[in-house]
Amino acid sequence: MLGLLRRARPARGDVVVIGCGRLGATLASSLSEEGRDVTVVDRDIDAFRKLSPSFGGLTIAGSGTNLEVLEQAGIDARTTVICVTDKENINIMAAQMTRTLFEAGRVVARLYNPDKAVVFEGQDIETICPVRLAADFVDRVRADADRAEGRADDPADDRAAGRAEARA
Amino acid sequence: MKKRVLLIGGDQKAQALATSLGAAGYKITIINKDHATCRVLSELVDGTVIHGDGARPYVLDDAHAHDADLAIALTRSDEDNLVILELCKKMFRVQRTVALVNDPQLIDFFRTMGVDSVLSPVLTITRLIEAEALAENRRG
Repeated sequence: MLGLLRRARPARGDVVVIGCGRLGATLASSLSEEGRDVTVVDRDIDAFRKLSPSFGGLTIAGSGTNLEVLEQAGIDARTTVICVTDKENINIMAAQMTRTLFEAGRVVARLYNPDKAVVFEGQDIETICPVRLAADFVDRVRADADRAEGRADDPADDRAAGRAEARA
Repeated sequence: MKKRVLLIGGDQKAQALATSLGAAGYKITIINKDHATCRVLSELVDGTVIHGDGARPYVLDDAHAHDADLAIALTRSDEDNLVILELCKKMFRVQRTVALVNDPQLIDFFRTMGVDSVLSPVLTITRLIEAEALAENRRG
């Protein structure tokens, strides 16, 4: 199976998703539906069953930190790479490999522990951190609640109020 | 002052290294994810043993990584070894880092990422066996 794929011409995907978990599969499916060229990498072939039936991209069964697998994914300066496996260290290493060895145009990695972002120092790799997103959301909810309590005339809350309006 | 070494992961390798480095006068700290391994190591090794995931900043902090002169990553996962040593270098400013790497193709990449010494057991053992085999041929 892998041999057959290896012989195939590399796909010039404009998005490469590493890790076909819930987030990876959802992202890959919706990007593919938008008409983007999507390649999904996962070491477990069964993971691709999570992709939507209309997914029209390429799947590669292999590790996202394996050089041959990344070569096969055809990553270049036009590619956006999204690293969303369930193992944070794999996301970090895959992001650094695609950034430094393949010079991907844009690289995003999911981190569970925001402190670890220091390893990306000066490498131009973006991070998504579920903990931080949730914390920001809770902050926003709290600001909204404060506003509802009539503290909106407090100038310090202007920013929160503005954000709430923008959302409305 | 005694040089401090941080050994992360690897059960038997950590034990053997800790014994020889200890004999050479190093102060040893070991981090291991497996509790049973930690208990064994703490009985056999003269040094501090910490149970935890070495790829987490707070565990490295508990192990006083900022005081270490040398960090050696011996886990079975290349990804873990890389992240552990990047944290040691970039967060705790450890002078010298050494990694074991399972996939020999990754040696150059590890060096690019700032790991000072990268060793591949597969490559090293292959070379040793080849050398032995060739010596055998010459003799015969």
